[in-house]
Amino acid sequence: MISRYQRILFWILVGGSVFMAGYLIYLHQRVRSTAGTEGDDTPIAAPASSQAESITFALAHDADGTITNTELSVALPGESAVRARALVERLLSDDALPRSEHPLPGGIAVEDVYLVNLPLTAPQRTGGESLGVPQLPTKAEDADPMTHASGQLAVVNLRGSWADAHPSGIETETLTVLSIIGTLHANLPSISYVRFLVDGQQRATLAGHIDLARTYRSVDTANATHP
Amino acid sequence: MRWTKVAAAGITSATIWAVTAQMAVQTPAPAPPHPRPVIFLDPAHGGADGGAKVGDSVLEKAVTLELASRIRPLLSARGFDVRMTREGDPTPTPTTDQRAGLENQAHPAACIILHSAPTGTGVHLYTSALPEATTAATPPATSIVPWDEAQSAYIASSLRLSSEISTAFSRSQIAISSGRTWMPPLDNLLCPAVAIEIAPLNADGSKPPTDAGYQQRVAEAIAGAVLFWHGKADPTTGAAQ
Repeated sequence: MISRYQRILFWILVGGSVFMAGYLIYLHQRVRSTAGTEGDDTPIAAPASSQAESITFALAHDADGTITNTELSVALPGESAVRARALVERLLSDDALPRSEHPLPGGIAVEDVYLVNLPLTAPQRTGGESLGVPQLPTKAEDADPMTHASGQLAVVNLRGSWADAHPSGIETETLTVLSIIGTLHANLPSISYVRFLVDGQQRATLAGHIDLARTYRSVDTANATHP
Repeated sequence: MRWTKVAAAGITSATIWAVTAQMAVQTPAPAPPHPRPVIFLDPAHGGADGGAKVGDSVLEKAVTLELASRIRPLLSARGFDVRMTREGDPTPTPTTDQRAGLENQAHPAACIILHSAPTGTGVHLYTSALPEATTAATPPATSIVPWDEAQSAYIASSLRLSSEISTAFSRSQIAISSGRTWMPPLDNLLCPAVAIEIAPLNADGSKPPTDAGYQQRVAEAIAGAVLFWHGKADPTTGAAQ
C-alpha cells in the first residue's frame, strides 16, 4: 500500500518534470528565433559624430555571380583614407552577416587603407644633382604606368586572418575584389587604381585563385564583364 | 627508261635492285599525317595545394583531376591530342607559372583550366580580364610579351571559345555564369584559354561537384563545345574563320 505522502511526492515530481520540460521547450524556441542575430560577427560600430548619408555599395551575389550597386544610409568619417577604410570594412562586415548573398568570414577584415597621390615619382638619385644633370626616370620607372597615372592609388591592406578564412573559388574571390573596387569607385572618384596587400605584404592570390598582386583600375564593377 | 633496260637485258638481281631503288626515289613519299590539334587540360591545384574543400572530405584537387580524366577520352575520341599538366597528384606540384610554361611550349589549339568550388551553383566560366591586344593574334617574334599579359593577344578567340562552351552548357541544362577575372595561369597562356569552375548543380546542394553523373554531363558539354569551336576556328591562330 502506497502511503499518502508518497503519492503527493510523486505527483509533485511529475508536475515539476512537466514544468521543466515546458520551460526547456520555451528556451529552445527563444534561442532558435534569435540565432540569426547571434551569428552576426559585425564589429561594434564606433559612435559616429557625422551625419548619415547615402552611400553606394557594390554588393556581390554568389547565386548568379553579379555585382549590384545598392544605396545604404551610413555615417562615415570625412577624411578620405579613413572614409575608404570604413567603407571597405562596412562592405565586408555586411557580407559576414547570416543573410549575406556573398558569405565571407567575420571579424575585422581591413587593417588600413592608404591613399597615395599619383603619379608616383622615384626618390632623387644621388650623384646627378651635383653635376646639375636633370633627373630623368630610368627605363623601368618610365614603363611603370603608375609614373604616368593621375588621381590616387588606394592600397587596401587586408588582415591575414580574414584573407586566410576567405572561401576559396574563382567566383567568390573575383566577386570580393570587384565588390571592393566598385564600392571605392562609387564613393571616392579620386581613386583611379587599387592595390591589395595582406598583413602589409604582397600576396599572390586571395585564397588560391584570383591574382592579388596586380594593380587594378578603379571602375564601376556593377554587372561588369570588362573591369 | 629503266624498265626498257630490264626488258632488254633480262632480269638480274642487280637490275631489280636498281629498278626498285629508282622507283623508291620517283615515288613521292607519303604525306606525314596531319598533326592532331593539341588541347591542354589543367586540373588545378594538386600535391600540398589541395584547393577548396568541396565536400566533407573531398578537396578541389581531386575533383579537378577526376573531371579532367572524364574530358580527356571524350576529346581524344573527337580527334584531339589531349595533354594534361598533371596526371596524378605529384609532389611537388608544378606551380602556375610552370603549368603555363608547359602549355605555351606545346602551342595548343586551346587550354582549359579546371577548378571546383563549394559555393554558387552550376558552372562558372571565366576568361581573362586583360584588355584585348590591338596586334594580330600571334605577336611578332621580336616583341616582348609581359608574362602577366600574355593572354591579351588571345582574348578574342578565348571569348569565342567561352561563348561556345556557355551555349553547350545551356543546351545541357546546366546553370552557367560567365565572367572575366585575373588569375594565374590564365593570364599567362599563349593560346585561347578558359577557366571552368564546377559548383553544385542545384542550390540545395543535391548534386555536388563530386557527383559522377554531373561531372560526365559537364565533360560531354565541354568536349562537344571544343569540337564545334575548333571546326569554326583557324587551327593555327584560334581565330574564327
